[in-house]
Amino acid sequence: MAAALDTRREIETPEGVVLSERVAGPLPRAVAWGVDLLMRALLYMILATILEIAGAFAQGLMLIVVFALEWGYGVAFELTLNGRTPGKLVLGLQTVMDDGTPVTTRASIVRNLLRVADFLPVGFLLGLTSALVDPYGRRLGDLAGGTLVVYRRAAAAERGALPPGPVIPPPTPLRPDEQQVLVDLAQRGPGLSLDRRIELAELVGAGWGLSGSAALDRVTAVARFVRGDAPGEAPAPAPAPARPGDGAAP
Amino acid sequence: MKQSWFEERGEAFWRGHDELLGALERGGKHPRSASLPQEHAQICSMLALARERRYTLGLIDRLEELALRGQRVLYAGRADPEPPFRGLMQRFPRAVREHWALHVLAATLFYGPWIFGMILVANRPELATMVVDPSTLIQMEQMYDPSGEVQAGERTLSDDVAMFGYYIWNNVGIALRTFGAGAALGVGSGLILVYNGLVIGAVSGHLTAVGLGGSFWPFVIGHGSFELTAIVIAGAAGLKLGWGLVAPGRLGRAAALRAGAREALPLILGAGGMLFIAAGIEAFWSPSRVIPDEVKLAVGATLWLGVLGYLILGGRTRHAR
Repeated sequence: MAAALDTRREIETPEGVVLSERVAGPLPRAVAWGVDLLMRALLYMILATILEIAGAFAQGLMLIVVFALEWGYGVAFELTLNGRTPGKLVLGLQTVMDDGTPVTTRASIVRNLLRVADFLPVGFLLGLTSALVDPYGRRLGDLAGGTLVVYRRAAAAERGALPPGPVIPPPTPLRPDEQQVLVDLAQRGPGLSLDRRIELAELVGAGWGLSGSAALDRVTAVARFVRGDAPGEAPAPAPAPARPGDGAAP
Repeated sequence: MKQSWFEERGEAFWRGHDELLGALERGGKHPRSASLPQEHAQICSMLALARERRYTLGLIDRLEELALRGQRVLYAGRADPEPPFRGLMQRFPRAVREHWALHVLAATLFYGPWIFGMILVANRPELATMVVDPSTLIQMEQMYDPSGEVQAGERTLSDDVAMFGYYIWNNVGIALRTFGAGAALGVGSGLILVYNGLVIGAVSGHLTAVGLGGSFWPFVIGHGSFELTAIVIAGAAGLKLGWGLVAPGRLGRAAALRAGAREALPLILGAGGMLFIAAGIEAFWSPSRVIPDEVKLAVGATLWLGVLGYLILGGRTRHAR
């Protein structure tokens, strides 16, 4: 199902279904890293101003805090915030194991320590190369830890019933995948311009000898039948825009 | 079954499940928490049905989202199969012995250049500046000059704490970098080992040549036991990572890197712990002026024996494992 071009990783779960993770590419990850860098810089500035007044003792403490932030920032947030650092939170990303389960302590430590290698020789060149070569966009740290950085799913838009209207059975039997395409087309309608909808509907309607808005109306009506929507009042038919090459509806 | 009937029957259940997941994701409780596995299984079978029956992509997406979230929540409660810190005191020396060849290699890469640097500087003192910045050399000379500011001046507890922080930030950082850089085919780790060995060798050679060895060696011997050994172990852990990529054996390279990281993790965690101890010794014991040099040398030698003894004998059990 997933084309080789798709940045999806399919995971078979113990429940016997295949779930697909949408893997994040280098750019959003770089931006997330930048946000985290900014966060740390801000923290350092605040710490520095507080400790400036204090003496050598505080300087020692400061360096310990810097150490903890430099090396522990990623691990601490990934383990407490469901695999997200503040940067990933902003970008809608999440670190997970490559089987889709939450990131483990071991994996988080490994992937964050190996950021050093990904940074080599300059400016994350090695990590970028690895992310571009790997089909799932993993840098060396991800490969070693067995982790993925994925997009957090936004709650899927609810596309329930189609707007009420006539229900017409298809003039010819439809294969299951044809039915799926038909209903998807009808449901996606509101996101497309009328011209585009008619254009797409004509691809289907041509086989039924229909064109123009008649094809769109018929496709929608058949989609209702396929979905099993209850027949309802047909809305007032919108006047079809005059289009060159519109054939007469049968 | 028509999709609209399927949706009609499922809608309430999906909403309820979404609510349950939401509560658990926020770390809260829900009256139906206990039925999560059951509900998750049901969502998964509904997803499989929806796919099989070619229901629309919008519906499949929605079910898949519920299943993915359910998967995360369900397996979040799973105990970590390998907590990295459990039993580390035993696993660390075991891992060192298991990868003894890599440690011999790392020690050679570190102490080889060290001895080379020392011999070089002892014979041709002017070459020291080729390896180390002249201003750093002068700074070192001042640090170990018995009549200088650092050795004879006042040193307070605050100064000790400041140095403690510095040693943690700098030295533990170096060890972690030495490890991480190893994933670049081991080259990163090797270079850091060689470079540090050479610099420390040149500096110690130089200080000995100008007659400051008397204050230098008693200072470094104590924490050196933990610090230098830990650097070698961190290097070996890095080489372990790189070796997986160079010679993956029967595994694919990505899988070999992953397996290498699994085996190297106790090494780097142990080395990091050793460097924390080293930082404590270097900040609070080594610079002390109350303790005579003879005691420092004796304690230092004991610490070396202790560290090596721990690595050789630690974590052994009576029974074959």
